[in-house]
Amino acid sequence: MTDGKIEHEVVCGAPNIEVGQIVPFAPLGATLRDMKTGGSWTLTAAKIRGVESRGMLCATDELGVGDDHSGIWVLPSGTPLGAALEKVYPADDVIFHVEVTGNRPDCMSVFGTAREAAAVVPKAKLQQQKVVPPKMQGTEVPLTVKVAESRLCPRYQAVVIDGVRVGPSPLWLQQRLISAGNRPINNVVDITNYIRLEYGNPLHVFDYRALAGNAIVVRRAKAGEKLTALDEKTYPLAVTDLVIADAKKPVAIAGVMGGQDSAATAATTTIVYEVANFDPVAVRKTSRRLALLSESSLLFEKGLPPQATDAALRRALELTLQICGGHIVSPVYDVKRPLPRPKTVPFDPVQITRTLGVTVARAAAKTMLQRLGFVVAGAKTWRVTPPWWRSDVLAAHDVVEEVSRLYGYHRLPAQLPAGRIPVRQPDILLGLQTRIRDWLIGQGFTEIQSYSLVSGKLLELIGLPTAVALRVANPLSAEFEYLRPTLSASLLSVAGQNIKRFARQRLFELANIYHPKSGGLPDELPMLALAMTDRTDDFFAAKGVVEMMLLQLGVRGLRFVPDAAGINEFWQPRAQISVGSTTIGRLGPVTPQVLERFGIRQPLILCGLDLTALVPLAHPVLEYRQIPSFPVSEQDLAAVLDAKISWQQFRSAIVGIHPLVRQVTFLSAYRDAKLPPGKKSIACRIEFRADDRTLSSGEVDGILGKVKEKLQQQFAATIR
Amino acid sequence: MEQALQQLRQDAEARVAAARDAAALRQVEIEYLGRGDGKLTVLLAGLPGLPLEQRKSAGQLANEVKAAIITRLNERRATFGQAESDLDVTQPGIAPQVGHRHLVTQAIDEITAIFERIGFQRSRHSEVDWEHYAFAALNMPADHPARDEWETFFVDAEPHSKLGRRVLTPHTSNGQVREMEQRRLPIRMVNIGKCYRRQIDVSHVPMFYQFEGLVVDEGITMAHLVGTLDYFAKAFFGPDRKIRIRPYHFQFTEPSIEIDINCAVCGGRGQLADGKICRLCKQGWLELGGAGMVHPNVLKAGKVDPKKYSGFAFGWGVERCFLMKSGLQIPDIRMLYENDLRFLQQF
Ligand SMILES: [Zn+2]
Repeated sequence: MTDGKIEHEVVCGAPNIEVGQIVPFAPLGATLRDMKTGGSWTLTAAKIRGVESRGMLCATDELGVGDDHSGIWVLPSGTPLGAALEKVYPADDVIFHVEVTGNRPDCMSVFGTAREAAAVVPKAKLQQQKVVPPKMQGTEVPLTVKVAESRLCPRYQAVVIDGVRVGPSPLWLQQRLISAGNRPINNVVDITNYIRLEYGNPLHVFDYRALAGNAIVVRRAKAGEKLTALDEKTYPLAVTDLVIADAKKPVAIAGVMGGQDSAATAATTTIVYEVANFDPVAVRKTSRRLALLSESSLLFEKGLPPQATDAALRRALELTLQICGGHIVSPVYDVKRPLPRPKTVPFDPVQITRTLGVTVARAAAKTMLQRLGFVVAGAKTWRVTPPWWRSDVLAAHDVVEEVSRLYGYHRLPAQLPAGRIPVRQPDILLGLQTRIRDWLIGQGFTEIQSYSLVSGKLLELIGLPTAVALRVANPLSAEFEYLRPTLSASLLSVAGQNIKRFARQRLFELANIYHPKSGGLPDELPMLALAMTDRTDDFFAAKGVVEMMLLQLGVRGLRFVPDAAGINEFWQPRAQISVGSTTIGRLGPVTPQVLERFGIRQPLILCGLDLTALVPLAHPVLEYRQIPSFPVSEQDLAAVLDAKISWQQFRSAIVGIHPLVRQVTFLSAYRDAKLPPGKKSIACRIEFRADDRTLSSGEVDGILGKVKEKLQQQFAATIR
Repeated sequence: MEQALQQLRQDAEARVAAARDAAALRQVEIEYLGRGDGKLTVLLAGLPGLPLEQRKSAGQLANEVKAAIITRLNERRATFGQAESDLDVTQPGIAPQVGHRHLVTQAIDEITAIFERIGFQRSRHSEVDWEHYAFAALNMPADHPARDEWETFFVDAEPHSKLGRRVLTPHTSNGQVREMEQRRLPIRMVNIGKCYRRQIDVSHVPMFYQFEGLVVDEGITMAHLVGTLDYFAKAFFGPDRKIRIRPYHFQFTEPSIEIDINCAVCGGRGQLADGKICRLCKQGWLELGGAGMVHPNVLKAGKVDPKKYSGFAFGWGVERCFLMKSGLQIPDIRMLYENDLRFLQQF
């Protein structure tokens, strides 16, 4: 390569490099932008494929003027050789980043933003550029334009230009494209992109000679048709896709991307511009289905007005003749349905005050609307007609928003709603959850929150078939595939993940589980799961926590029933937790083989409580019981009896025996070698108390005698 | 025996009174009450030799004497002051088990309390709901591109002929029409629930919480919305913080706005004292979330007459607000749901 004076040997692997191009050159010692770090680096000589490269040809990103790295930046043919780039390329530009909301495609262009700004900024005026309507010159070339799906393509404009010289665009055009994040390709393509940015309506350019039969047909794709698009990928088309076709085959996916075979290249001399309007839903569906997003599809799917094609086409012709030369050799084809007329909205200006809570003067509101291009007619109530580019304005509340926006939300006073405060029953479940949480945290438990979405693998670890869980149709990954039908798996997983650092853990989670329901929404069942693990078995500690918690919550008549039926590979529940005939939960150790799968090699007690069942039972009852005026007499009693007799049976036998027996408290239970085989020893403390007198020792002894007698009779117990 | 006990008591009390410091007192204590050869212990060694009746009364008296001496010792010790006691107060206390509330629960509790103070009641709605409530009833009919903005999870099951697919609600806004359908006006609710979106990175989790405010009543205006959000921002973030409102677009509100709060790190200037760009906000403001006046179509979907009633709604991320407030500088939002006890037990 040469800089006009000296020849340099440079190795360049860019795909777009060709002999005769004028390109940016960084000599040795130049400072370039580091794309990875955003910093800079200094160019030194380097051996590439055995050849020493003394300098570098640059892409726009390496120079810090753009973000394109797909090829070397090709400068237009008139660019002086050896000149400093900053002399020929005006880089000191101001770039505004404007976030346009999805409902305002009319602002997604330089002109649209200017039009909006002119309405919003006080005293601003909009200057429209004058574009001279194009005239046909020279001999007309044949072209037929047919729209078979006019609902999906309400307007299609096309025009043929002959004698164009395709090549790099002038630098001012390249600079504007680069500043807007586009990559210059060649002048005719650049013009389509530039006008899309300027006017907000996408354009497409075809090589006229590539259109078989000199025909353009807008139709749906036929079964089996394919198209290789400009991104060099081949897309299989569905019969629902709208395409632009020539007499034989599709040449573009309507509104999404053109085909490679009909693209304008350096060899092209005759071009066809397409400026069309496509149905937003059709474009969006095709673009989503093919996973092919383009600047064009992103605009079309917002819904563009068919009126917008005219100005864009005129501008395209103007720029083309100016930049690429050539002459117009066809009429401007314009196949369209009747243009939609903006809907006139009846509008009572009172609605502005009603919505905003402040009064906006009618005259001021009217001016705001007029600045936005709305036509306002009528006196007391108005008839408001939005301009054609505002198809998002459909009803009175849309008109209110326009006035609000221009009035300025920052001018609204901050007021709290004045009306009546609704008084409702507080949500009982939320209250219960709060009480449970507070109580457990007070007992030293740590609350966890884990994802409701779990993996099938996690469910398998606790022996649950994934069929019992709701599957997500489009999971993010296998890790989040099922809505959990249990909290246990998550809790075990958390315990296991922490076990190396925390041998003693007290964990709980309050969350919903999900059970599929055929035909309806799944049941979302609020649960409490708690886990206690330590090096030694914590069953009675866990039972104590659950028991005291439920008692504190106001649950009465609580029973722990041996639960032989629940034993399985996963756990060996020692108890079903019941109130009356309702089972509200389970408590027991997880089997060592399951714990092992979570890396836990010590006992872990798990408890699950069904909060739906608990809600009606957990009444926080405030009840006063008279403080006893007379003393309690306590007697301890130990009995040896059949080991199968439960504490509950033993206790029940004593409790009902006499009204003066007030309390029977567990002291101990044990079996050992000194006892006869099959026997155990139970010890308890019995409290005797009368409300109206101090009990004499004779009275107490009498009752105690009856207790002993009953125990002997009922359980063949030996009193010790 | 009883006489000897009385004598011992008198002697001991006199010695206690004469002690001049804690060390002397300790000496007296050992001399009289010491376990091995304290005078009381030695005297009581003779007890078993006595007849039963005497043994009982002497035992009782011995207890009284012992208690009296201890009381005197303690009284006297108290007059010497703490410094002279041999209690090492720097030794660690016996730690009770301390529980920990999850950070997200702390945030939810705080948000709930703030809204309860202005008459909002917390409500609950489905996490898995019909497409109808998540989208269509919110003025987003099928095929509406706005539906794409939420990276929505769907349940793998046959859709309902009218209500559509089952979605993992991508926002709490499904609660709006659900709440209206209960036909209890006026409404002043804050619905806090789990939401789901198909995204995961340092600032996104596939499951997160939103809090959704909804007020529907006669005469509700945008000024009420501004007032409520301003109140919340000041109550939650601090009375000196400021909010900024930008026009925005949501399908289910009209007008729609987004709310920013001035950055606490740089004081809303976008620049730190040393002239560097503020890394938290870059421009002085942080985005809180969206809000707006309930769209008439949404009111209609909830069978509420938009001619008579109006309302406002907002739905913001709990985690996002909390992390912005707390200045915890948690580097990765996913830490909230990893349940590392080393993390959870810090709070
Ligand atoms: Zn800042």
